[in-house]
Amino acid sequence: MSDNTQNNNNDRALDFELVKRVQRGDKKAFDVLVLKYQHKLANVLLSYIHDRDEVFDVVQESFIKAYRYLPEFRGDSAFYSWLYRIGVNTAKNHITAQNRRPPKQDVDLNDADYMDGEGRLKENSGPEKIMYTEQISHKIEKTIDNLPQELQMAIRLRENEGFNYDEIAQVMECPVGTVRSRIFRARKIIGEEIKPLL
Amino acid sequence: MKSDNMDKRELLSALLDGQLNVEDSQQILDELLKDDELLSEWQNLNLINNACQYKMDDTLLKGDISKNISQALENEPAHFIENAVELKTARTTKVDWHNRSILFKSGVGLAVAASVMFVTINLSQLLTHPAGNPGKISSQQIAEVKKEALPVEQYSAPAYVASQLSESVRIPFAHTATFSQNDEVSRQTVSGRNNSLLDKKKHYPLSEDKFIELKKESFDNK
Repeated sequence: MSDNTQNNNNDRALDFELVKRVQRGDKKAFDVLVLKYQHKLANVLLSYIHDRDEVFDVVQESFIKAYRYLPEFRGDSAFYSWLYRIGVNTAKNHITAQNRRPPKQDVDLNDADYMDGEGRLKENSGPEKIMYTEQISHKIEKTIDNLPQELQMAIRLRENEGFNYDEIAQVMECPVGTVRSRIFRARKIIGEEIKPLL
Repeated sequence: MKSDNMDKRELLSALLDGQLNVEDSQQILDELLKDDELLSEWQNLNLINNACQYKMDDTLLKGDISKNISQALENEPAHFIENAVELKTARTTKVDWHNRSILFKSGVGLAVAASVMFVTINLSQLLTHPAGNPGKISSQQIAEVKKEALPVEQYSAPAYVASQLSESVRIPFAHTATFSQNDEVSRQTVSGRNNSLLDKKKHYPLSEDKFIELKKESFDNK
């Protein structure tokens, strides 16, 4: 089994565990899923709804629908794929309700984070985008650049390259436990730096 | 106590990356669902992860609708499902369908191959013997051959040799046929077509011993 498949399976297992707990009556487990996916879903739905305030309304509606339909979720697909479909349908209904036309073509789930609703790559270099990204993301980049070498390498291999802990341990020639600790320390420093911006 | 909390946060960070085993995952999830501070840490970790991986802009990252959703769901009844979802890995499902597909394809393939073979054989028979039904050996012919064949020693020979035994007796579909050393028909055939046999040896090789024996026999007959 490849490492990426292993990562995906672990991620999927966590989601299923949370879904299972919600299905058994633990509503709080749903909060964990909301915190995990609210930004990711909002980012994807920006392909359909370009107004950022409206997007969060649709995301909220999508999560509420997801909670109501959760007894029907049988785990044939990953939770996020299922949520994504609910989100896209909710976004289309929202657009239609406002007498606008939904996009002709759906965005593939794998490309959704990087494409707009018309199948074009999202514009990342426009002045508006630069203005939006210049704070938190920029601050994070700057913070990572200033981290001690071993923390910087660990967090970059994890976040930018998608390496798992075993791979990072091999590259950095250190135990997996050290990798886990370095990544956590890097995130802790980043978290402290961006706290005033939130 | 502080160090204990630090350990939990570190576990949470590893949980986000999908790098914990099942037991540790269950344990930290139990803690996460009880501890609001840990839940807030979970939120920060996800935010950093989203910012790094998807380069999300501030308006998205600053937006937080989790409380709104939580409030909206307060009036919703909790679910109590007997058979809650169980993890079905994509790999297992894929393998199942893959196997089924292979079985189906090979079944269809075999059926097609068998049909083509059947048609080819019938056609070839029809073309070589358009007037009759040559593939069928009459019981009389079998009886004649049996009568003359004394079972002293038996050899196995390819279809070509078998076809030389008698022009009138044809054994369809046979790749090999047995004949007796004392068979008069076979003796005549082998001796009469010695050169032909030598030529065909390249294509239908007998074992060396058998070949020498047959050759010697044909020489004796002369």
